[in-house]
Amino acid sequence: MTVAFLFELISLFTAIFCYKDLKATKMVFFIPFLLLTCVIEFIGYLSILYAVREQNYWIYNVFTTCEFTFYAYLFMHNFKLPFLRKVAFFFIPLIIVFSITNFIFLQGTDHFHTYTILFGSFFIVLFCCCYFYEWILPEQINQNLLKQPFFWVCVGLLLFYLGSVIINALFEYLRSSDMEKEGRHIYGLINRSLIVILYSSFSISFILCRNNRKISSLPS
Amino acid sequence: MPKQQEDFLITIVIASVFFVLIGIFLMILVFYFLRRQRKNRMEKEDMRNRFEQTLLNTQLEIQEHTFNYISQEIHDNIGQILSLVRINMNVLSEKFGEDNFDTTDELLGKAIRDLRNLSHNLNSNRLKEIGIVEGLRSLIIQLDKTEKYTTEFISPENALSFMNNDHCLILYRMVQEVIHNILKHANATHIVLEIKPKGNISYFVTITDNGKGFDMKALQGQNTGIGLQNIFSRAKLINATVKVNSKEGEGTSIIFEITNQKSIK
Repeated sequence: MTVAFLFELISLFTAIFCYKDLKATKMVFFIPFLLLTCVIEFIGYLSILYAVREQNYWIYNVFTTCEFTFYAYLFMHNFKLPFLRKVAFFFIPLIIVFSITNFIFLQGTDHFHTYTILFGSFFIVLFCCCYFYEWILPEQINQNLLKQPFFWVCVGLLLFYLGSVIINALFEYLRSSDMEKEGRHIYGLINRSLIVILYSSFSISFILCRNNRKISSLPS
Repeated sequence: MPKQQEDFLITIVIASVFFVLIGIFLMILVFYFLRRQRKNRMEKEDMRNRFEQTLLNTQLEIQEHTFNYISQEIHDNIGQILSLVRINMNVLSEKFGEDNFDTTDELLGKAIRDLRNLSHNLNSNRLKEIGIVEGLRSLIIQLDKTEKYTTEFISPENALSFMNNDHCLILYRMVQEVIHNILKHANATHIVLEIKPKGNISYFVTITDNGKGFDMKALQGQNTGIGLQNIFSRAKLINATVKVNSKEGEGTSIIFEITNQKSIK
């Protein structure tokens, strides 16, 4: 079991622990999402363990689409500007259509869908930047950004998808026969490091939901 | 592994780290920008508060000048004239011996006393001479003399000694305003003014009446009258807090909390 998987589990348990505080927000959907993530990672781990390597691509291909859909849903509910909400809303069918198109016409069933990942990464990074932009607007000035749970989700997503652009773009090359061992090592190293950052930031946001609820329930 | 491939892999790692650093840099920029904006907003708010305070100080100064002028005119001019009228009336009463002169003399005497009290109330120099506690006590005594109200004045000796003359005057005017409101609106028969210490650095000045009271919701938003607005703005000047407690049919209590700012620093 890798360190990255451990962080995913910690994030899941943190979400479950903070369930009462997440219940009032859309962040509660992180619980089934993280559960799915851990299941997928476990299946992926088992497939490596039993040397069935090629077969886990399709799981991650489907899961990636679900991931982007989930993140777009969260952004849709956290954006304040109506225009950005609409963009996030329309991204959901767009990524599904792109994913299906990629599956049927482009990378098919035997390859890791890097095109979908890069397409989705671009939008997620864009959404993160838009979220930060909303915070620069004068109406938000008096609020503390560090105490906003979704800010930490954005931090994780931004760093994860920015950091993984290169390795996903060069995935096929890294996996090619002349680079297989070192390429896999580098891909795994970078990917796992970024996963640690991503799921740590998720955990921080769950804990902040709990703290914010405690503060708001104190008598004034 | 060939060197070219090694270099390529290193480039990939560096490029990935570079992108992550861009993300971190972006976040730092956002933080820095937000901090600057918040600081600017606070400075703007501070300047606005200082301007409002200066404006209010000027208004109060003008008001006090006017009061002092009127006080002097009453003392030097009107009061003297009425005293002369009284003297002439006494001379006439000796000549003609009419009973009506006694009533007229009494009325004149009351007018002179009322004018003297009014002059004293308007004159800020008198407060400097006698001190805030005596000033407040004399306000209550004047009410008592009207025989329309029963009053109580409770205060320890040397209360509010940390206040300078200007702050004493502002507090005095605030209490005058409160009493003026009670006389005008409350239909009260009993008024209590109490000065109570809170620890070593604060005092509560409480004015309570047994009048008809009012609905506290009337104080919200723009519904506060000019008198109360004056009280709140003057309280800000002397860093005092104002608390109003009232219930319809159960009287009103207005509490000023005045803190010794030097002790806090």
